[in-house]
Amino acid sequence: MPTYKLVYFDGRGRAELPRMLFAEAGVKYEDFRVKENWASEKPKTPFGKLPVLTVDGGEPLAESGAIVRYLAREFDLDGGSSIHAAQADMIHTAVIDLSNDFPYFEEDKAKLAERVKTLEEKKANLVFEKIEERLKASGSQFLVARKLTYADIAVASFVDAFKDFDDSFIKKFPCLDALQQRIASRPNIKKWFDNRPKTMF
Amino acid sequence: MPNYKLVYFNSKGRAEVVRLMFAEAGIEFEDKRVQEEDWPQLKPTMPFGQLPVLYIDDKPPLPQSGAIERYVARELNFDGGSSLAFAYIDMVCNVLEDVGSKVPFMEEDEAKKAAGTKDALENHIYPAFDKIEKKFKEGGEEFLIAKRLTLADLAIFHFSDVARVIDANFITKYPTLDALCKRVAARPSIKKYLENRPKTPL
Repeated sequence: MPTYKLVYFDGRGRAELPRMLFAEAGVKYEDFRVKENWASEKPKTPFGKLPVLTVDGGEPLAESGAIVRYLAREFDLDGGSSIHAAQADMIHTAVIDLSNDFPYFEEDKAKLAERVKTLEEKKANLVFEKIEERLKASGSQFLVARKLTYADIAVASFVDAFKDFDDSFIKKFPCLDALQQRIASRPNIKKWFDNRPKTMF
Repeated sequence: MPNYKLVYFNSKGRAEVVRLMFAEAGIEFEDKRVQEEDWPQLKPTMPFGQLPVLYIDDKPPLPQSGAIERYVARELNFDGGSSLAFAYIDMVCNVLEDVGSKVPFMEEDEAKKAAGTKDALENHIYPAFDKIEKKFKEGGEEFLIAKRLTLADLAIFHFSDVARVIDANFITKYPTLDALCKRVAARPSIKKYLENRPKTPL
């Protein structure tokens, strides 16, 4: 097993899905959180951003999407075939894109509510409707390949993050709600959720 | 060989890198270009109401340009040959997508558009390309990753092509990448494709 180091800020954000993949796969890694020394860490990163993953101390890998897809493949959480990997990819991308619009650090309560509403009405509802239809039609416990993939974990991760903004959103999508509850109660995921640092974002 | 149909608008945009891969690999595919006036009727039938979408034989259509690119790269051996190599390719493509998305192409207010474009170039695009150029120059290789042509090289080529719309001499600021783009464009299958493709600005 390679040595993994995941570097991010002290928060969930774009590192949380990679952390959930490590958790689910039961793979040890260094969960490094940059607290005060970002200015000195920043130039060491490929593009001045986090998260960054290093594997066996090699060239740092940036971009959370690339990190997630790499780990999913390594941990057999990508569905196994190219076409299943592509389906998981499309679902993960669609869901995670929504989190780009999360209004973190918006202090004006009215603006915050407005931004959440816009996100839901203009983007999130459509994406989740489509994925809900797909899941319902398949009659499967999982989104892709009839087995656990990172697409399922991505939905659970999204719901976990979005409940800071609207904890009733997922109730509009009963199959996905049931799915994310199943994911959240998987022993390794539950253990991670229970024990992870409690952070603002 | 599966039957491929790629559906997009009549532009390069988010479909061009896939088209370049098919061209380089010599794979025939249906290059369906949707006219603007036909889009409203087609939109609700698409998986996420967006294009591009890739049809593979009779499988459900695959949306999301990133997912399509990664799938095709893997199928046609533009993925660098290993998971880790592909991760670095993926990273480069994500960076391009990320910085490219900062350009307000759809902004109608000309002043806002100009200001937004300048901001995108100076604060996102140039810094990212400075880093890619530096690393590529230091590495002294012919291709960006894995010592062979991959999705990353084609993505850089495509970016440099459309970036001319917002900065006419964009890639010339990055000599090593410029040379790479010229090499890509000179490859026989790509050269033929570039000569024959519909001419659109973006």
